[in-house]
Amino acid sequence: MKQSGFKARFGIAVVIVVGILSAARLGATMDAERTPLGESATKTLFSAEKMRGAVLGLDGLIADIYWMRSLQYIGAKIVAAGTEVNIDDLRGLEANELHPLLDASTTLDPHFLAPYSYGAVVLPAIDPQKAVELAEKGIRNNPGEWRLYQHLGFIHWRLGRFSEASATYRRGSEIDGAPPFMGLMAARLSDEGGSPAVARQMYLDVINNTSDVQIKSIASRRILEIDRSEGAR
Amino acid sequence: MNYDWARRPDATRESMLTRIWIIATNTFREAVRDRILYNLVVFALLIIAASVLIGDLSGGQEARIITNLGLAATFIFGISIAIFVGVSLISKEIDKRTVFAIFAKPVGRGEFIVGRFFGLVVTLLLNIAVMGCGVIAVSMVIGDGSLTRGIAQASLMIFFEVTVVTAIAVLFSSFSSPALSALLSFLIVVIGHFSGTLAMIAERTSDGFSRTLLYGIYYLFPNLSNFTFISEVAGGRDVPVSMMLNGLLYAASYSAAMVAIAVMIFRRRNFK
Repeated sequence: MKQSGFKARFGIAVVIVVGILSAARLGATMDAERTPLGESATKTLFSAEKMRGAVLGLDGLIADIYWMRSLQYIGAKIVAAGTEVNIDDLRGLEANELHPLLDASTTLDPHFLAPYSYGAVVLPAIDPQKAVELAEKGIRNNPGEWRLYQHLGFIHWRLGRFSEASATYRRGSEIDGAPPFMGLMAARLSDEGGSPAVARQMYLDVINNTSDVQIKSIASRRILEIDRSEGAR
Repeated sequence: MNYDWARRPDATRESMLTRIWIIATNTFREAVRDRILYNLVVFALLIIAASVLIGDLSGGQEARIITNLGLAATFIFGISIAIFVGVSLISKEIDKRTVFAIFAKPVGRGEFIVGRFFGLVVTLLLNIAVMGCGVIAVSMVIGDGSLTRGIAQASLMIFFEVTVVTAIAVLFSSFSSPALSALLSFLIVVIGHFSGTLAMIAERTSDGFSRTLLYGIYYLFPNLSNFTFISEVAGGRDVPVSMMLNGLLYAASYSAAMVAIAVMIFRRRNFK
């Protein structure tokens, strides 16, 4: 009796272990066999506008998921590229879904500032017009946030539109709580928009005003490049 | 449910409030015995795992994401308990025939319903309070603690919403089967979160009958979207005090109405 009980327990334990191990092995095999979905897999499946309110008030959480997905999307693209990427021109990465992902995130939570900041630094190298659209959307949704004016001014400056950049910085400097450098940059941009000194200052301001490690890294690399080209002269 | 009336020699003279209190405390004990509070362990594991894993994925937004995730989990656990426990509050007693033993004691049907409702509401209050404190603790460790007040406020609003849902579940439970009651309660939660859209559609509808019908549904169904402040709080904004006061009053009024209907139905119900 005792022995048959032991046998039964042993049999069940064997089935559990074998079952889990087989499932794990088969799962890995199926993963390897499956054809990748490609670009469409990263697309925003539903319109973020329609999703608002349809997720029982959990819009912010879905916005976070889109935000994290956009970081992973660019990270995966850079890793897949393998070689050193040119941070001033990322069109080669074909990261066409970055704007829809950031746009979905900010549609679900229009006051979520991180996607606007990320878009301002990365999007101009992929699709400058979309970068401007995202920054302008941020300002429309958060007119009291001076940082968004800094982002839009930064995009204009990167595109060589110095007078627009200066005007945007000036508008941002008029907002309550805006730091003095906004006004100073407005003046410097109109006087010496394309100079390396201004470029250096622009990237320094980006570093000082973001908590995103990836953005800090991109801006730091850009400063190093400016210093290197200045040293070579 | 095992009420201890025998140990109360003056039970017949107990006031109505005392009888409701006894039923409510027994409902709470029953919930604890049924291991409903075990969801807190799942919640704790979820928050701890998320706080460890999210660090590298969030791009400097850890506190925001943990707040969103934690409050969303509080909301989902709260609503689930309110629906699945709420719908069986009455039917379980009828199925197990314990309802006959209870009504053989000096307790009215209305007192029974109200007591059961308050018992579950207290269970949910404890649950949501513990989960809210968990989110606050993690957000203080990860962030700078600036979200503390907002998280407490959003948790309170979730509790108000869950109270309304409990009342709805008790109402359905008073006349329907648990499965159907759960389905109907869930549908009410979904519709309740679309109430703003209903009002918008009603406003744009030109047909008088459709317009009246839509407005009727808008006013009849609970407006639950006004209780959700998760995104705002995660973004660093507090819940306006006026919204909290109105939320409290709304939850109290709507729940009172739903429980009153449940009492009315239950008093006429034939258990044979």
